[in-house]
Amino acid sequence: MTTRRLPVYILADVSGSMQGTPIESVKSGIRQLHRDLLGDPQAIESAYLSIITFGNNATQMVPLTEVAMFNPPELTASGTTNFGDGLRMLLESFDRELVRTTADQKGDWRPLVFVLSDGAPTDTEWPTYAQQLRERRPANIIAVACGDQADVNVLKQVTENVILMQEMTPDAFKAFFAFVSASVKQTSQKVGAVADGSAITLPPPPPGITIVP
Amino acid sequence: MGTVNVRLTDGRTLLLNDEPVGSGAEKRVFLTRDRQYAVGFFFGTLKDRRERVDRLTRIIATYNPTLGAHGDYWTPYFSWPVAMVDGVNAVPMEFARRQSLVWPPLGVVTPTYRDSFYFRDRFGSRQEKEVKWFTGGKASQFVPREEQGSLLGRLRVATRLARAIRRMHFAGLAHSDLSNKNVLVDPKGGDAMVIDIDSLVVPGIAPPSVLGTPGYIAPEVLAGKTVPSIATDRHALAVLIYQLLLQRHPLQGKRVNSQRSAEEDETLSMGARALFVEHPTDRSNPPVQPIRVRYDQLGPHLTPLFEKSFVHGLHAPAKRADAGEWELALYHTLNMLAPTQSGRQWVVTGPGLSTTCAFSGERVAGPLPYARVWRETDKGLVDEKLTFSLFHHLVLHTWHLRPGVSPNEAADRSPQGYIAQHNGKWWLVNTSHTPLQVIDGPAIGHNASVELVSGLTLRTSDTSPARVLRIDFLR
Repeated sequence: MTTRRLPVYILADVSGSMQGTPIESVKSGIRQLHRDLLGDPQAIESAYLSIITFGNNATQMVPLTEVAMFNPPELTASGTTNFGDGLRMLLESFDRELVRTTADQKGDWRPLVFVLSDGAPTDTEWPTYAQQLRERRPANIIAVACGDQADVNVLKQVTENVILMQEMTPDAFKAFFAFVSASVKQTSQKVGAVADGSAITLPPPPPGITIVP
Repeated sequence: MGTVNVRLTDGRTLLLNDEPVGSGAEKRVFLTRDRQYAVGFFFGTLKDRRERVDRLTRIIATYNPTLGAHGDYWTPYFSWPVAMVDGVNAVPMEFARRQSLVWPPLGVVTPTYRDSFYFRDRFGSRQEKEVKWFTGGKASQFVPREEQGSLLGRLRVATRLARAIRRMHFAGLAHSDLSNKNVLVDPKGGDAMVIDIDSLVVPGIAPPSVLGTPGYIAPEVLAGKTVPSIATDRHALAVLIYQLLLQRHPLQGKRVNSQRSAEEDETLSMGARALFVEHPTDRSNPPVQPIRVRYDQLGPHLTPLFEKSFVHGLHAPAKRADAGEWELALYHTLNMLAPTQSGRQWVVTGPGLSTTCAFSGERVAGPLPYARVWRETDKGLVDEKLTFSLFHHLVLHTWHLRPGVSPNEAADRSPQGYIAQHNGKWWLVNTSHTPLQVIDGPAIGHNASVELVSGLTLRTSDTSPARVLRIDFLR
């Protein structure tokens, strides 16, 4: 490893309601994101990607992998929306994968997390993990509420950065993943100029996506 | 994709494609339909509009090196803004709204980049040759081998970069965000160009609010003591030259300066506690990868400048090497290059130096002639402390034959002679109309030649001060 890593986690809802166009759009969005980052020398150097999905339960589909070695996963949608297990898996992945700064080792940048959900959680555990994320602040988290069934208030319990994608069209997903790509590129370039790691500035979201105040 | 008409402040109009080709932190970039120009429109919000307009106006007119003396010479060195878009009638409101442009629209027009500043990556995509692709690390592995260039190509890149910055600094301008994203390089062709010139620090206009790009921000700026200036540009220039030639960052070492957060550690490691990874006495920040080629293996001219920039001047801006010093040292180093046996690599060599390429292990095909350079003055011979490696088909110019001449904007670029190896012997052929005087020997006139042998001494003109070359061989 030559430079610090910028870990990027995508936590995607793959419950039954995501079947069809939405899940296909997420898959092609991840492929586009990967392809796009391969064109950015700074992202090639420092960005690492992981994909975690949640349906009946959570799975880390791709462990944290450097952009050059990343393979976009095959995703299928079914089951309930076990949001809590997704958050648990995210926290567990942090503990397992992130390199901490110690006296003789340069650790990772603060991770960038994108959470995608199109519905309300069906489990009861999620508030515990949401609270942990809110209190420990281990990462910069951007949550996107997809369509009108997504529960914005739930996402607001995880992070103050919630954006709303009104329509779940392929174009809207494409625009969202372009936003993810721009955010990763901008963060991998600007990181280090931020004095205390508390705030990051993201590019303005694309048309069709609004920031929920 | 449709098109949109754009009215420039100078009255001209351009026809633009209405979909952007790229987007930066503050500008969206559109190409003209004939692909001759790019227009970068500010989008989102813009706090310091009045200053931007003032700055742009002066950059385009008052401080434009491509319009002044030797303007044509400087044009390829910069992507200098040529015009501006400003005001409510400049573009259709519907276009501005759809692209989230600031209103009234404000944009900068620059010529598009030369084709040699693009390469095809392994997926067939066209990529701009940002410095970042050519400084080692993972990104370098995505660049085709033929685009990587030799040490010759990279020294030429660095020379052109230093020359461009010297020109800006000479006019009192600071780039203020010199970085691996704002310089395009072509190591294969030995070319470089400074881009993103609209955030220049112009005399009389407040400096821009950006600090620069991480990795290139001078320690004193990161420590909050000062704002970008010519002195901080010198730090960024030294980092870029070090990276281009040695494929690593001069300050990114192993030492951890804060365990509180990666961000705080980075701010200290590049700022208040920055330490050169090759510091000759303080070894507490060793490089992450073992060093293959040390900075002092780049020869006697560059070594002191790296020390000025990263040992003595890292935290003392006034001690840093300036762009003119880099330009001259790089040019003197280029004169020491000799080709390896394969003809693909080049070695900085001379009397007392290795004839093996530190990067590739290839050797110079010897014995190879070189010239030690003296200046003849009224008070006798003065050692200029320069050597020229002389190789087959080296073309001689006035900067080889006259003291104090550099291959810069003012130089006469016509060939004056050449070196040739023929039937196992080395020859210098004079194609100029000024005779070369062999000391204790004949004069070498127009189209005459002299065999290069050890000890041969040539006075290159009869004016004073004259340059005197003494020939010897590297074995």
